[in-house]
Amino acid sequence: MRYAMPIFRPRYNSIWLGAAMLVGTTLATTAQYVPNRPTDPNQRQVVLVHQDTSDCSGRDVPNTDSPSVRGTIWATRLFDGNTSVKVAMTAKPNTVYHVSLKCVRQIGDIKTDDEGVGNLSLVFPTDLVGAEYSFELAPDAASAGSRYQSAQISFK
Amino acid sequence: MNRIALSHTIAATFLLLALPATSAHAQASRTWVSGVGDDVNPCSRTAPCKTFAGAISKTALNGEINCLDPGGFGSVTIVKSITIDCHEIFGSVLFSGTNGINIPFNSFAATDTRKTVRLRNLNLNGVDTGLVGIRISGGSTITGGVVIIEDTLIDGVFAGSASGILDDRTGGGELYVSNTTVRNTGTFGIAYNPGAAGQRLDIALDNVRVQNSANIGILIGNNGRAMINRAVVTGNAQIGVGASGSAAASEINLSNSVVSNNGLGVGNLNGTVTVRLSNNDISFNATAFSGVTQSHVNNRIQGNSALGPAPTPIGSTSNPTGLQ
Repeated sequence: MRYAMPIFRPRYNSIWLGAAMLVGTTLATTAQYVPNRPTDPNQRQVVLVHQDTSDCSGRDVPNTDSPSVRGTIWATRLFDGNTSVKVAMTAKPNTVYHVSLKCVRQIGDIKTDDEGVGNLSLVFPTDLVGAEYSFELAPDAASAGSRYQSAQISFK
Repeated sequence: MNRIALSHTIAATFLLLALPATSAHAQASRTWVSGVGDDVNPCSRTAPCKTFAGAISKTALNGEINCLDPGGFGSVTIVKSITIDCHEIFGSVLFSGTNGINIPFNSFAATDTRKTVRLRNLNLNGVDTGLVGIRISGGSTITGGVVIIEDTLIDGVFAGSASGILDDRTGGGELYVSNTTVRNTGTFGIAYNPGAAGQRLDIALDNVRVQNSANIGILIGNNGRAMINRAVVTGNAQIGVGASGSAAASEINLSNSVVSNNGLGVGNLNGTVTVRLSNNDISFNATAFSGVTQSHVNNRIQGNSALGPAPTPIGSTSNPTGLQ
């Protein structure tokens, strides 16, 4: 006689719910499990890497997690013609870094606290840049090893 | 004059011979950090350093960094076997926009036979923008590393692939987490999620609390084999405990734990997965289960909005519980 567990007996609506959840979370095409995440089509997120140089659009800065990553930048295109930028970084303590749109102009400053943490939010006119651009952060009289480059932000 | 020149030569020779010995002794087996320390110091008890990053280069292989008094000691990348232990002292790491502690095993020396990192009693806070609290990577060239995390709190990591503990090494090894809370994370709470099959990673999670991740509380991916005991996995938006084995089989034994108030309680997500459940409370989830799971028929599954596919009893008809 087959053992039956009353509390485990599935109902048909439960089966459909379970099947829907299974389909929703199954991604058999990639080895790594990639979670479902809602994305804002007007927002981009890139890493800020400890390196001295990059090209103007940041194409040569890898947008991947590594020990060289020192921060994250979020850029969101707003409907009023501006772009909102949020910078979060952990770098040299008690230091002012000038935040620039790479090869365009400086748009603000960020100051790290005594644990090296710095956060900044600002907006700039979206038409200052094209569809692809990047950021550079550097202190006053930046010496070798003191600059940070962002990976490319692309709205193409 | 000749005698003076000879004495100078002898002195210079001794100095040269002494230099390597001096630098070899520059690393201490125990170093100290302090909230009021300075990284130009030798990190001794009387002259402590300010940060873990400053202390690690002055700490010998298999040595230990301790905290002298409370403080924020900064993010750090660990590339050798070492212990960071701030027990009895508040030892914090703030990490905004970046990782708190990196452990890239491929950067370990081949001569580092232990390949073991021990982290104890740390408070890691991503101040809402952190990437990953403890990031374990590499393993393609240096295999079989061991990471032990005890008595640690990880909170406030919401950037990108933000996770509390994220391990994606493919070289196998061991990951032990005990007496630890991971909460408020943007993607995973604790995850082993390698991009390829790799070698097997043995995982033991004991007395862990994983709360409020935006995606999955605990994820065990390809070739991961996890024993999860006394866990409280609650409030995770998508999935409480999930296993994925698209490239290599993964396995979870979940025992004596609470899985509650998640989107999905326990999920067999894809690929070749075995999930065994014993003596758990699985309650108040939107759906309790997805995919095939197995049960020792001693779990309490109540109050979920939907059950999903019921777990299969482990064991035979004559012994359905599979208990021995």
